Amino acid sequence: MPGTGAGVAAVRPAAVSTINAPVVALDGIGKRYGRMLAVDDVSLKVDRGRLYGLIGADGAGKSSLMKMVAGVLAHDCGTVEVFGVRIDSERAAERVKARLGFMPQGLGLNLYPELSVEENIDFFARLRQVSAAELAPRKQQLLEMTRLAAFRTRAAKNLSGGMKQKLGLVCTLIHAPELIVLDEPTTGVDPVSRRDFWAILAQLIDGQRLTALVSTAYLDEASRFDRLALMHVGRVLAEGEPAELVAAAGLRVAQVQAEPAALARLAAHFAQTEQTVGAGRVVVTADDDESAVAAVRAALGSDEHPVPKIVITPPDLEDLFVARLQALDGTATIRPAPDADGRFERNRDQRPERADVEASVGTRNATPVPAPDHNGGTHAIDAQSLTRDFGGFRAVDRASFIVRYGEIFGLLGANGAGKTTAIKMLTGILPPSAGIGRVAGADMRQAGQAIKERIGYMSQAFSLYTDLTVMENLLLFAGIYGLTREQARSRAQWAVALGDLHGHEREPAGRLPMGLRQRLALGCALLHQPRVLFLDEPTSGVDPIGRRRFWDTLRRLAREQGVAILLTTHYMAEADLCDRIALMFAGRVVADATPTQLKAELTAERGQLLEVSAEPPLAALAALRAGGFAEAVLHGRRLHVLAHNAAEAGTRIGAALAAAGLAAARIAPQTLTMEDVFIHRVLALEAAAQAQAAA
Amino acid sequence: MKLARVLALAGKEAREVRRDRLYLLLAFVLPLILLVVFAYGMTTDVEGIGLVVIDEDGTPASRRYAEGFLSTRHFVHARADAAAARGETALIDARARVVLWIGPHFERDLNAGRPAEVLAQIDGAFTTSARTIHGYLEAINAQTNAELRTETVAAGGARAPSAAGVVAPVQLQTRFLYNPELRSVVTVAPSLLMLVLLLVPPLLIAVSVVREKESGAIFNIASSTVTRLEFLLGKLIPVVAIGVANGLLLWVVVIVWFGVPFRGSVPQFALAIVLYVLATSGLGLLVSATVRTQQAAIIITTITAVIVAVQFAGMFAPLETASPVNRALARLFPAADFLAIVRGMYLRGAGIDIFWPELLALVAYAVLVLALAHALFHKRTTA
Repeated sequence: MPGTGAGVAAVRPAAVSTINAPVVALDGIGKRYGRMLAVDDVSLKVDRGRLYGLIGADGAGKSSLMKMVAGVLAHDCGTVEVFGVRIDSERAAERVKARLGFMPQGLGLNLYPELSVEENIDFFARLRQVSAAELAPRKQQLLEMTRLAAFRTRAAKNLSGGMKQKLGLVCTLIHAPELIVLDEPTTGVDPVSRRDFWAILAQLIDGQRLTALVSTAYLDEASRFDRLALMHVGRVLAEGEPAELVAAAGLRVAQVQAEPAALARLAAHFAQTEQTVGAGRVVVTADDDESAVAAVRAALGSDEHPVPKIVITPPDLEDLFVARLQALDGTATIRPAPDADGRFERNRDQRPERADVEASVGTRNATPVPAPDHNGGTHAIDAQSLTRDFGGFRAVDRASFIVRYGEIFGLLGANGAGKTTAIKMLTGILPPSAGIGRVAGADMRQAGQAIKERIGYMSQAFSLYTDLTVMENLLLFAGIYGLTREQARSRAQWAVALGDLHGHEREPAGRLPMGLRQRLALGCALLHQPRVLFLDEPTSGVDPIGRRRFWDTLRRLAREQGVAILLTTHYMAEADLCDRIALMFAGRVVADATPTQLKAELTAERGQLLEVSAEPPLAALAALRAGGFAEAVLHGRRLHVLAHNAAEAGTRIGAALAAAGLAAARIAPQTLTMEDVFIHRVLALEAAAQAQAAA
Repeated sequence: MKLARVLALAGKEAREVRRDRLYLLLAFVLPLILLVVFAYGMTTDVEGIGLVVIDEDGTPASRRYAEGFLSTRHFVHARADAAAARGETALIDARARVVLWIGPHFERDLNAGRPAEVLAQIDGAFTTSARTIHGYLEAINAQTNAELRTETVAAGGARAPSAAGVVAPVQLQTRFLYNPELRSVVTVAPSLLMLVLLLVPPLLIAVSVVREKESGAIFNIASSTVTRLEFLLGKLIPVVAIGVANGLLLWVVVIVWFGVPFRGSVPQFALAIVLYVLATSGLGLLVSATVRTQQAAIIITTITAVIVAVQFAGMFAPLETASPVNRALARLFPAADFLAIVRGMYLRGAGIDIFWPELLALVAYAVLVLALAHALFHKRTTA
């Protein structure tokens, strides 16, 4: 209701306005911090009872927007209406605060670390003046739903990341608000806890007519929202229902099997290409499948033998996001990394996509080329029963794995599984309590400074000096590694080229966007030409294009220079890009194989993945669980089930839904993702651990 | 304003304080350390100063003269060989601060009625104590001269008491009231109450507010229906309680440990402490409304407290002697008023009948600062 003053809104009959009016209505809002434009002309509406998503990388403007809705940040222009009240002053904002809950960014940071779980909840309840009679059952219900009931007396500082995030949600919900605003509640949380969190949120929205505005940096979470806005540097790039957005995008994904030469031609034609052994995946601008196939054939050339096999699938939101970003910014194509001498293989001025993207294709999942190390071996990292105890707590428990030169090795695991501790032992920061970690042929317990010169380490925290410029940071790190002035200058140039930081040399590192910062940090870790590279969550908060370029750089380092790379990540899409994965659970390595092997193992054990679309999803989930699919999980608005016999399972699913009085579902087989693998593995391990504890 | 919410906030605050060891240390140990360290560090008393005597005369008269210095509590004998050069070595390696050189003809000159020459070398690196040492040397020397003259006059036939009357016709008798021995700790220790309570409560409150700004916990408040006043009171109550407890603890330590007499009324003194802590905590709230990081809060509160205490509170020299500008600046802070009350109550036993203007000033100050903090604190900010 634009133009309606707050005073008028107050006397409007509540019954009419609250049912039909959007809960949140933003119209042309803008926000500036000094010279930086954080939010630029954003308009959107959130309807009652919806789960609305704001998706974007760091610096997209999500947090500012959410704070303006929560009434804790003033906007510069445009109008913000919440529950029909125009928020244009501190006083006006106060009028809606009783009805909303806000959870700021930062995993559990808004909790009081010294207080216990229950004390935190009680404090929020007293602030919100929840009566004792209301509080008791609500607290009980929320604690059970989040499975925190057993931890009432534990101090918030001693909770895991996933538990903190759930406690934060409970505290935000304790006064039964009509609208909750959650700022990146899943960032830095492992996939299992994340899926758990979304399931709880779906349950609450379904049961309580709650409206939620939630932001995330994970694009693969986008399908969980009823409606979403894709944001980039303060602007909304696309807004709508996920399915509708994908349908309206005019994009198709073509999976092509062809000779490498043909695939290279494809890469030259399409801005978004990924290449694996003998197969390619390209995003095609086309309104229907036929024209997509035609476009791919045209790019491949007609004389191709054997005739390439082309499968057309709908694009996912990340494809859409990347396409929009590329359209927005002509430079957003992926650039080749320079070779060791700092030269590019191609003339840099040869601008448009064709040449640049051709080089960007990389060779995804191609067999890595092992390069010998100084001692002639091929094991860059050799962890043998690495163990680390902190007091009575065993953070890493007899972890063994091997990383070869030229290999990208992913260390996955929930928060607190021991990944960072393992990396710290292998980089010589932390001595192991037992076991041996050999890196580049040397035992890290005895290895002195010499071995540290052969490894590069990029820590979870941003390790650059934000007040120094890009070039000053590079030269400083070169100095720390003891390079001569000449070496330092040439390596700094190499790093600038590697990270595509041209034109940013004199900018303070603190002012760079996240993607560039991470590439600068990577450059700093590579200045001394290490043979082994450790990366701890290198792409957190980076936008999809930034992530793709980062990975492209990593692949080139591994393939062309034979660098061994060990990394950790919470993005399961990135896990798929690793050559090899070790999954950690409670300090132990519980699986060590290639992503393909891990998926094949899960399929062999549990069957193939079926995606069930049924409305309403929560009722359908309950029906499936009651009907013998105990491990069915909610994935956005769809359900995921594993079954050996798809046809037989389809019949059982139909029967289970019918028994609950629900309409027949659409069931489609899906390819397994690393996320499915991760979640099934971890849930099984958790169940086993619980059974053991109970016995 | 809802009392229940204020209590919820204050109760939460109290719980956090109790469980946070660093905060507890800051709240209860730091004040004591500050008091003890500064009290001993700021003492200007000259006692037990090392004195080297180089007596080249070596006669009963010269020994008696030197004894005149060493028999006081101000000087102790520092051993050194009887060579002028060695005496200076004692100064250089800081074994002594004064070298007293008595020339070879001391007794002969005295007996002959010629001025006997004595040289005192004082370590001038510490100007204040050097000046004090000089004062003592002059006084002791004058004392010796008077005695010698009296002896001379008496030897000339006059009876001893009248001889003294001839030598010094006017005798000035001095009594230092309230601090008869002029022990500087008696003035320093009570004034440290002013400094410590100007530093610690603002530090505690600023850190506790800004910490929530840093973590984002402040948004729990900003996005709720808690009013600004409720929030500020919730922060203020525990800190004022801690501050007052500190004030009373230090009050006892000053009396018991430093032996400073307290002659005022205890309830009146407690009232002054409450008002002062309210005012200084308000200063902390003001700081926390304007900064974003704990480092900034700590630096600003500490520097402000130290500068105000040293420069604008009348700690080292009475404010009446300060320049008009400094006196005006001193009015910006509650330290001078409180210091006047503290000194008056400890030493002179003055009461509310004398100090009501200062107490009223503290009330006005507390109200003003808290109102300003309330006006500056916003739940909906612009950045």
